[in-house]
Amino acid sequence: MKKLLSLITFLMVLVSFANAQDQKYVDPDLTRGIHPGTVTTLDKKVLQGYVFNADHVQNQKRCIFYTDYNDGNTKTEYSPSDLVGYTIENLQYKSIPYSGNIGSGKGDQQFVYVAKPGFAINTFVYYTPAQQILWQKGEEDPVSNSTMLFNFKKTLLNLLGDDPDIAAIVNDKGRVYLMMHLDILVDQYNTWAQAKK
Amino acid sequence: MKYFLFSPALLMGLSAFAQVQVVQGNNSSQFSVSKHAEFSSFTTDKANYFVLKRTEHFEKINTLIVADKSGSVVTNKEIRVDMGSFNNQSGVKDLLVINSTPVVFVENRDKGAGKNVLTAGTIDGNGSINTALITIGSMDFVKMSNAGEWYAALTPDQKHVAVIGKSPYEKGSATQFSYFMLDEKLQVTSKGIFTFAGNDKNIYVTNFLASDKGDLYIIADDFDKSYKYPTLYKYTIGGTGVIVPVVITDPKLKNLNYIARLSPQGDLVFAGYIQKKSTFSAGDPAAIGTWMFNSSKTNEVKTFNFDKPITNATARNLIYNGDIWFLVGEQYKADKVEMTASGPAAANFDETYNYTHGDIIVTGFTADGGSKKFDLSLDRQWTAKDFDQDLTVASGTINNKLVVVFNDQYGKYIDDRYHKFLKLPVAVLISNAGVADSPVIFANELDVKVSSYTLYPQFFNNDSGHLMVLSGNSQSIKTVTFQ
Repeated sequence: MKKLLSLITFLMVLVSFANAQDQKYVDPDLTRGIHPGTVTTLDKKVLQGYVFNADHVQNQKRCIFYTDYNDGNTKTEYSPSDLVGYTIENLQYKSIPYSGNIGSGKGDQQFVYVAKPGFAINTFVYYTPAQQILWQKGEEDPVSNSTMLFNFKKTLLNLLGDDPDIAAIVNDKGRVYLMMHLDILVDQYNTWAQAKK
Repeated sequence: MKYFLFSPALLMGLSAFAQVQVVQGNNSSQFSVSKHAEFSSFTTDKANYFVLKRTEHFEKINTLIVADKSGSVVTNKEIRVDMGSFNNQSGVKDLLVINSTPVVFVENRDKGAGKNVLTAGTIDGNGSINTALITIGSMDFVKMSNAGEWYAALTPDQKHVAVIGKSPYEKGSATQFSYFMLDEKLQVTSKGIFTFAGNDKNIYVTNFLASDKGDLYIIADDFDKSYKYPTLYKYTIGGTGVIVPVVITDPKLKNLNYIARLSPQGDLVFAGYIQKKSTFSAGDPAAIGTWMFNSSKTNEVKTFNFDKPITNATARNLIYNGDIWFLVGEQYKADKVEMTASGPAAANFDETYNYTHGDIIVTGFTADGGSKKFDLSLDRQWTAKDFDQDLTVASGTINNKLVVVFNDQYGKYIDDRYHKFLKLPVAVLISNAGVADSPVIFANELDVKVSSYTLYPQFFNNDSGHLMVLSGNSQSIKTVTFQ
C-alpha cells in the first residue's frame, strides 16, 4: 500500500511539474477545410498544392494533400514518417519525435506545430489538446518538459549553452527563474546565433 | 463622364490578354493588421517599406513592415519608445526611410527643463531602435499642453530630411517655425527660423512636404463657414515665407476634399473634388467635379465639372506618370456607430464605424494641370463594419499606365452562386487617354476560394513597374505584387 501511495505521489509530482512549464502560445487560427499549402518530402522537395486543415490534434497525425483541390483524385495522405513537414497557409508543422510530457525514450514521429520559428531553435506546441511546449535546435532531439525533468540545467546548457552569456545565466539562476524566462532566453539565443552567423 | 461598367462577358473574353501578373511573397511571422491605421510607404532599390500608424492609449505606435524585392517580409515590428512620465513624456513623431535606412523621430517634452527636444535614431534589420539617438533640435515651452510640434518630411531624392518645429503658440503673435535640413547620416546641414508675415493665428499643420530644391510646404486647413479649404504656407530656404490660400474663385463652388503631392519639378500639386455651396444640406455630400492647383501658378485653382454629381467622392491618390496626373478616388462613407457605453467606461471602447465603399473614380489632368483629359468610373459596391482596409483602392503605375487594384465581388466575374460575395482581387490598367483595359482577375493565382488571406489595398507600395500590396489573415501577412 505504501508503495502504491508513493507511486501515485510521484506521478502527481511528475504531472504537476510537466504542466508547470506550459506556456500559452497563440493557437493556430484557420478554418477547417482545404487551404493553399506545401509538403516537404524526405528528399527535401517542396510540393506546392493544397492541404486539409482539420484541428490541432488531427493535424499532428496526418497531412492530407491535394495538387488540385477540385479533383479528389489528386489527394495524397501522408503520415509523419513520410514527410519532413508541411504548411497550411502560414501554419507550419514539422515531423519530429515526441511522445508527450511524460513520455520516455525516443518518441514517435508527430507533425508538431511550429509556434515560433527561430534562427537556431524552433519553439513547438504539441496539442493533447492542451498545449505542451518543446524546443528543437536544428535537427537535434527536441527538448521538452520530460527531458528536462531530471537533468534540468544540463539539458538547458545543451540547448542554450553555446552562448556564454546565457550559459552564465543558466548556471547562476534557479530553476523557477529559468522556467519563467525560458521563452526570452530562447529568443536571446536565436538573436545571438543569427549575429554570430 | 464616360461611365465604364463592367460586363462579365466582356471581361471573360478579354482577360486572356491580361497585362498584369501577380506574385505572392512568403508568409510573415505572426502579425495582424490593426484597424483604423494610417499609412505611409517608401520604396528603395533594396526593399519596400510599409509604415502603419495607430494610436493606443495616447501612444503613437508605428509598425514597420519591410519586404525585400522578392516580396518576402523580412521585418515586421512595432516601433515604440518608453513613454516616460507625466512631466517627462516621449513619443514617436514620425518614421521615415532615408536612403534605405529606417529612421524614427522621437520627441521628448520635459516640463522641468522646459524643453521639447527632437531626436532621431536608426532602426536595424530586427526592428530595434539604435540607442544612440541623435539630437536634431529643441524648443522652449512653458506648458506641456502647448509645447510646440515637430514635423519631418523626406525629400523626393530620399537622401535628405526636412524637419520643422512649430514653436508654442502665443495669442496675437506670428507662429514661428525652426527648420533643420538633415543629410543621410542625420547630420544637420542647415538650420534657421522663419515666420509668415501677416499671420498672427495658430497654424494647424495637416501635412508637411519638402522638395529637393529646399522648398518647405506646410499645409493647414482653414474654414470658410463650414467649408474647409487648404492654405499653403511655403518657405524656401534662404527666402521668405509665403501664404497661399488655395481657394476656388467661384464663390458657389467649395472644396469637398483633396490630396497633395510634389511634382517632379518640386512644386506642390493639389487635386480634389468640388461641391456646390448651399445654405441647407441634407443627405450625403455630392461632388460636382474636380479641382486642381499647382504651386507654380499661385493664383490659379482650376475647376472641372463631372457629367453628373458623385456622392461621397473621396480623393485617395494623386499620381504623375510623366505625362499626365491621375486623381484616384472612391465613393466612401464612414458612419460612426453610437456608443452604448458612457462616462469613464466609454474610454475603454474603440470607436466603431459602418463603412460604405462605392465606385472608384479616376480623373486625368494634363501635366500642367491646365485641363482635364478624362473622367471614368469603375462600378463597385461594398459595405463593412469596423474594418475596411480590404475595401479601399491601391493605385500606382505599371508600364506607364495607371493601375488600380481593389477587391471586387467574385460573383460579378465568375458564375458561382456559393462564392458570389467573396472578395476577388482585380487590377485595371488605365491609359493616358482614359481607356480602361478589361479588369484582370486573380481568382486562380491567389486561390481566392480556399485562401484565408484577404488583399488589403489600403497598404500598397509602388515602384517602377510594381505595385506591392499587403494581404493578410488573422495571424500573418504577406505581399502580393502586381507587375
